[in-house]
Amino acid sequence: MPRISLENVTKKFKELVALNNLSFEIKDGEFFVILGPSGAGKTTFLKVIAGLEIPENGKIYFDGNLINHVATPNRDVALTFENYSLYPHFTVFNNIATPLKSSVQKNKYNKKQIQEKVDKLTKMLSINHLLNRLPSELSGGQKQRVALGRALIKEPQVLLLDEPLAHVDAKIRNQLRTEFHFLKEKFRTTTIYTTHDYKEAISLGDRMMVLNKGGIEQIGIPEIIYNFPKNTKVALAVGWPEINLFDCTVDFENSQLYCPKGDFVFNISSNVLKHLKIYGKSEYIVGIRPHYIGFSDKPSDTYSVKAICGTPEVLDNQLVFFAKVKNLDLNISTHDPDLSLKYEQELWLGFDDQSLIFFDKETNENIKLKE
Amino acid sequence: MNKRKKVGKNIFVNLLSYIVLIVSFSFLLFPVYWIFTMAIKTNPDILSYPPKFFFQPTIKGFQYILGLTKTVGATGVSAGVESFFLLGIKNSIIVVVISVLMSLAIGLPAAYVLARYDIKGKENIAFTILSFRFAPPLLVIIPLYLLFTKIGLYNSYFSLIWVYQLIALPMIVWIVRGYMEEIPIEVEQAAIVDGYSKIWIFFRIALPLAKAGIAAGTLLAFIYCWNNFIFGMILATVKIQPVTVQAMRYLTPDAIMFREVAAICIGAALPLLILSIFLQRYLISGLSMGAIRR
Repeated sequence: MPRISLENVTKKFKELVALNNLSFEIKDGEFFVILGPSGAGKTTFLKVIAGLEIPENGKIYFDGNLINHVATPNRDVALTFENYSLYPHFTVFNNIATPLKSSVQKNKYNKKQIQEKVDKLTKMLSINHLLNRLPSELSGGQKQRVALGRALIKEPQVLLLDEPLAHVDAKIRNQLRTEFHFLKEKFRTTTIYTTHDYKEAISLGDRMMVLNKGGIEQIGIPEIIYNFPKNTKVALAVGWPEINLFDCTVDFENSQLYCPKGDFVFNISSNVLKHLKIYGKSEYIVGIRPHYIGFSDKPSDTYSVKAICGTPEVLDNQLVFFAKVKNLDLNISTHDPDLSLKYEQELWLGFDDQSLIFFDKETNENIKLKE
Repeated sequence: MNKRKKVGKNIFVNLLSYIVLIVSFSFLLFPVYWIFTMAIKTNPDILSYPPKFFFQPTIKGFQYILGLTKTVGATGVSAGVESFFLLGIKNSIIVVVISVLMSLAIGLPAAYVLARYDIKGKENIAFTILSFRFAPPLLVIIPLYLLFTKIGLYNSYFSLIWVYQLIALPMIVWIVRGYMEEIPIEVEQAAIVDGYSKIWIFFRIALPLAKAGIAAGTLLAFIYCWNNFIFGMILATVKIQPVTVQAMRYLTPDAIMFREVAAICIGAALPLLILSIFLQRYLISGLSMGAIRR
């Protein structure tokens, strides 16, 4: 039985449609990530699940029970907000203990038990030394952990995390992401985690969903989303540098692709050509990820497309730059730079045709997923 | 500009600012100073022209208003002077304290509802409450007098407390509403998710976080009610009248007791000063205090 399921859920704010006819399921114990840009509807979605917003249309089920009219305190969910929303006038201890003292808990815990539970959880979150501080005396990362503590303390059925790492320093972000993995294994709560960072989505999600303007673009395991994006929007949402997309015409006779914008051709192998023949059209939007474009300072059979190099950027073990082919800019990245590149240097590019993704020019949809 | 000129310019600017400040403050505080000295001068000194800035002080004025002066009657029996001042203070305290408390009891929940809920005609209600402050008391005093006498409320604490709501309620509702609107809604939503009711949220989240606004509103409501003259004068008599009206009793047909009236000004201002000092620390505290990322 799925833990959470939605049927045709629509949420409007006056004229703005925040959630557009959503229907899908989240499994028990799943760590489900929703990826989307600002304004996609991620926060609204979490608030609808929590019961803080009522949808205009649609049904929401927890464990098969309709919960549309169940009040928030009775839904047994916990929510962390993007800006933490800690109680500013409560200490860290009280912030975390408050959920245990509400009437919904029906006085389950006495003072000593509350003390013990808070102690244990804060030790796990490395904030045990901050119990007497006020939120104004904490750093961003510490506040995030307190917010998490407040959510986890009541061991909810469903955990809702709204962009938890969005406003945390980059260094702490990586650390916290690792901690999320640990918490994931330890608690195994059904979790919905929203983010605009695809790295978090791919790293943490058991399954993920790409949400755009209130509509579902694609749901699936991270590998599928990355390698078989349903349409160009999904392809652009995941991966950095962004996937390269350009229009191409197929030359079936010569087994080549011609790109008008860059005015170049490159060869494709017969099995790729076969797929295109089956699909039937001759014009496509071609997508290729930056690390599948190879380059060399000398022309050859493999590297045949002439390009001018843009400003290279070296990050950790990655070299990133864009290359200009006539009117087309291509993002290229490599983990193994064997050339020292200079701005406006001449390069010859080669495309790994096995990694090309073809999108229907009219519908923007991945042709592979149509089969 | 060379260093000498720069230093010279700085000194000049500083000196000029000090002079401006001293002049402005003298101008603003002079009446207060004058009243204060009037309260401790002898009668000839008060009336002397040119005005005396150096004089022999006396506490006779304060003694008189406190009823400590003894007068000798025609039969030679000495008795204490009746203290209208103390009677006025007592009445002021009763009427204003209860009025402000009542305004808080009605106004704080009203402010919360106006800040958080979406009711039809909300802004109309809010503006109506504010409009109480627009009406000049002189405009409404005659109908009120007629109404209160008709329903038997003339000369009662109850009528003054009721009427003072016109002054105190708008102050509290509008100031506190603004502060409550500043509280991020997510803090309250977090409390809902934690399992708490709106009532708990009102008492444990909204009120504490709006502390500064409540202090400001209370102080202003108190000051405006305390300083009110017209309602007390028309709707009540000596027994019930607040200290602002009682001061008039010292303007007798026999003598205009400037010194005693000045003494009352100071005496009547004291409770306000004490309240301001007490509430001051709440006025300084900020909102949200860093629990929300900005």
